[in-house]
Amino acid sequence: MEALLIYNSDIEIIDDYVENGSNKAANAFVRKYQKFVYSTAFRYLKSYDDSQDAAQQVFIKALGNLKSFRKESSLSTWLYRITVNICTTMLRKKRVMSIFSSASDNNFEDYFSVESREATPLQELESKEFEEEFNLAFANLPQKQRETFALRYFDDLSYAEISDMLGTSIGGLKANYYQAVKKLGILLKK
Amino acid sequence: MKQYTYKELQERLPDYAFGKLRGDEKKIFESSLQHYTDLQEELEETILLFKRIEETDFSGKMRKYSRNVSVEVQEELGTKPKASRSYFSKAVIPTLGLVFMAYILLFTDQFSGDDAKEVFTLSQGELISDEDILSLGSDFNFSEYAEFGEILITDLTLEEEYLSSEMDYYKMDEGEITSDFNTDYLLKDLSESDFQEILKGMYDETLF
Repeated sequence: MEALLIYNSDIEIIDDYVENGSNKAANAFVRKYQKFVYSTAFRYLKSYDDSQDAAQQVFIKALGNLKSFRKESSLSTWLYRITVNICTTMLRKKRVMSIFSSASDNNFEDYFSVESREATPLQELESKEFEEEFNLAFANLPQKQRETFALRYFDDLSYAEISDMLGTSIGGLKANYYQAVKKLGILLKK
Repeated sequence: MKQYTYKELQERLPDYAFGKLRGDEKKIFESSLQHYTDLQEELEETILLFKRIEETDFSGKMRKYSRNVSVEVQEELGTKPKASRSYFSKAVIPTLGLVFMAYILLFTDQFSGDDAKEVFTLSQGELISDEDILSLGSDFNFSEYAEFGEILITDLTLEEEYLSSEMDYYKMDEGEITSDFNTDYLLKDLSESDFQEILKGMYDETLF
C-alpha cells in the first residue's frame, strides 16, 4: 500500500505536483481548497450545480497552470481570482441565455438552505424561516461588504489575504466587515 | 494602557464578537469599550445574532456540498488522453500508410494490363519496345503473329470510318471481325507512312 504523504505547506504540494505529477498532491490541493472555491463560486452563481461546475473548472485550470504560479501571493488569493473570473464568465453566458429563456435562475433563497436534521417540526420550521431571512439579508448587502464578510467570517481568511484578493486596504476591509455585521443585525431584527 | 478610539473599536467589534481577537489587542479592546455604552449594546446584540448563525452551521453545509469536487476533478483529469498515444495515431500510422501506398504504386504492376503485354510479346516472349513498333515495315508478317494481328484488327474497328474511306476493299462485318479475316489483304496496299500512322495510333490506345 502506498505510504501516505503529509504536506506541511502549500509550497510542498505545489512542488510535489509540478515536479512529480503526483496525484496525491493534486488531491491534497483540491481537498484543501474545495470548500473555499465552492463557497466563493456559490456567492456569485447562487446555484449548487453551477457552483459544482465552476469549482471543477477552477481546479482543472489551476492544476494545469500550477507550474506558472509565481508564489508572490497566497494560493487562496490565486484561486479566488480564478474562481471570480470563471464565475463572471458563467454569469455572462447565463445573462445571454436568459434573454431567450423566461425561466428565472435566481434561487438565492436557497443560499444556505439546510436539509432537515433531527429536530421537531417546529424547530425545523423556525430554522428554515431564519435561514430564509438570513439569505435575504445577506443578498441585500453591498457586494464588497458581502465578500468581506464571507471571506472573513465563513472562510476565516486574514485581512492581509482578503486585501490581496479584493484590492482593498486593511482599514477599509475592517470598516466593511463592521458595516456588514451591523446591517445584518438590523435586517434580521425586523 | 493604550486606548482605542470609537472608530478603532467599531473596526474590531466583529472580530471580538466572534472570538478572533487575541492577546494585547483583546485587552485594549475590553478596556476601551467601557467608555462607550452604545457599542456595548451593539456587541451584545451581535453575539446573540451570530450564536444563531453558528447553530445553523452554514460552513458545514458548504463543506458538505463541496466534498465531491476532488472526486470529479480526479475523474476529469483521468479522462484526458495521453500525448504519447496521440502522437502514434497522428504521425506514425499515416506515415506507414503513405509508405505502403508508395510501394504499391512504384513496385507493383497491378495497374498495367496483361493485354498490353500480350500485344507486344514476340514469339520469343520478349516485349517489343516502342521503337520496334514504330519501325515495323511492310515486310512485317502479321500472319506470324496472329494474336498480335487480332488485337490490332480489333483496334482497327475503332477507326472504321477512316479506313473505309481510304481502302475501298476493306470489308468487315459490322462491329466484328471474322476469325479468318485476311490481314495481309487489308494491309498490302497501304503506304509505309500510312501504316506507321495507324500503328502509332493503335499503340497509344493499346498501351494507355
